[in-house]
Amino acid sequence: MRKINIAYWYILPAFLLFFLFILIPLILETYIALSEIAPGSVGLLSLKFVGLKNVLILLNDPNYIKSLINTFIFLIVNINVKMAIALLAALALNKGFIGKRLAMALLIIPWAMPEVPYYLAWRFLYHTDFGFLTYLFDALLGHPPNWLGDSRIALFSVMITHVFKYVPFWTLIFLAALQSIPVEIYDATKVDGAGTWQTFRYVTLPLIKNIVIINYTLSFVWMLGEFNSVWILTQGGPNYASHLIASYAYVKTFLLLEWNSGAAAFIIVLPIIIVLITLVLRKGLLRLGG
Amino acid sequence: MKLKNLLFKIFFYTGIIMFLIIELFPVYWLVVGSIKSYDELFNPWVLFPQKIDLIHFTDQPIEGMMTPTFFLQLRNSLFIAIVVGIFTLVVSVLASYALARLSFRFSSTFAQLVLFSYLFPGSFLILPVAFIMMQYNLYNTLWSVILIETTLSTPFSIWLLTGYFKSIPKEIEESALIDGCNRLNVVVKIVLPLSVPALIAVFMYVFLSSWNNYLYPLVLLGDRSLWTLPIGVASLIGSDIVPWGKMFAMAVIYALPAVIIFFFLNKFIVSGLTKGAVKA
Repeated sequence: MRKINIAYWYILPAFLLFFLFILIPLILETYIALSEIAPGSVGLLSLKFVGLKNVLILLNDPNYIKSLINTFIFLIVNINVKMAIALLAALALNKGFIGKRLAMALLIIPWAMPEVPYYLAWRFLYHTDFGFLTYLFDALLGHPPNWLGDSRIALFSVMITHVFKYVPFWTLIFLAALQSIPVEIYDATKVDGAGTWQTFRYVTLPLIKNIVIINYTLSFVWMLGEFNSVWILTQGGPNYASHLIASYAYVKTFLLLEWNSGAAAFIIVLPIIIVLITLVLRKGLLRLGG
Repeated sequence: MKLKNLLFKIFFYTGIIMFLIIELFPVYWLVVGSIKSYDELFNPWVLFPQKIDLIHFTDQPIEGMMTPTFFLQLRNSLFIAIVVGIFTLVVSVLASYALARLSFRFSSTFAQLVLFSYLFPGSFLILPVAFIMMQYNLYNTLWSVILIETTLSTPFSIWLLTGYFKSIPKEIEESALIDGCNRLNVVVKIVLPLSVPALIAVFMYVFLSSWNNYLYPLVLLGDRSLWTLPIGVASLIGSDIVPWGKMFAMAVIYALPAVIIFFFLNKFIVSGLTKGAVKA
């Protein structure tokens, strides 16, 4: 009898976990999204295949369309604003100055905080009766915005919070990227007489491009499933104004117990995720073993 | 010229200090909210509390956070995080060693599967995972959370350990193999002792992710006695009269270990940043 390569025993536990809790769920979710629960029965057997029915129902649900649009606004505005602020901060922090190490250590704190307490603090800052931001804007503008209760701005309030939480993350990414550029290159550009802007545009930017592309793509994929910030701050309210895909699906699945629509809510964006992940893997942006 | 320089410096430092103040204010507000007295807590203009009131950190029946519920949630959180840490280490040490050292036919396929699992946003699987846990009667048990969190943190650990194992010189292991050690012995007696720093870092990172996780415990643990700390803290916001002070005190105690571990891992996390290895 041929001996089985021991490597397979080594990868077996990990493979089983991925198989049971990622691949099977993925297939199951697709199947649930494409089926209906037949009345009077329980479990997998109760699912009756109905094709794209649930998907079509969702695409005609203005609340779902809203969460879909919200998610993309959230993603695109959020990542770009974060990157702009973080790039500025990183360029400043990249200069040696007194107290730089302290500044870096302090900057990490908001990012190091678990999300739940951090978002709860913001919920208090936004509070209509005794929120600091409400008082501040009342003093400045005379009429404070109802940060989380006004359907026109609730999503932006959640976004602001998320930006604050993860600007430190992006700042450190840019900083690490900037520090990976050898000093000699800058010396050379100085000799050639390049100005600050030119140096940034033609030397710094191309050199940090790769790191930015990787993190941009990954953030995009992961934030498609953003849940915690919106759930703790607004629970998607008022009246679906700030729902994202994940919070919408959570409500459908676990509060309204409409499993099939809950699954369909995710399945509709699944192609985007698969395409992006395939792109990352094909381009070799991320490799095992460094 | 000198004046221009001075102006630039003033501008520069003001900018950085403003940036830091704005970034840190929410954290400060949380901490200060936990020690403010009742009147000052609801007056946002009190930026610096006149007197420190520690009532929320005591075991006072209504105002204090040191309740039996808190200790139960702390125990659940600790138990889950530690077990997930150990499980993840065992699973990923084995898989990483295979990827780093052994040759097998599907090694690149397996590597792709690891990366796929890493990149896939975990929140997309709440429904089928809950469904599967129900099928196996694991729903509403700590084990359901342990299993899914182990699955979600394994790819990152494999990613990290594979790189680390590859950096260990092969020759040490080869001589042991010639002396008649089997593979598992080599891993346990030679590779692991050489990788202690990486193993500690991975364990702490996994512990941290589990400690911070909100979504899966929320979805899988309906029973109040099984709740973890983040679920418990966040649930206070749903009370009819929100006990802000108590909630903040609980939040501070819950956040503190996470922040401390994060600082220990600082270098390791920052070095992973440039490779796209850290989840925001």
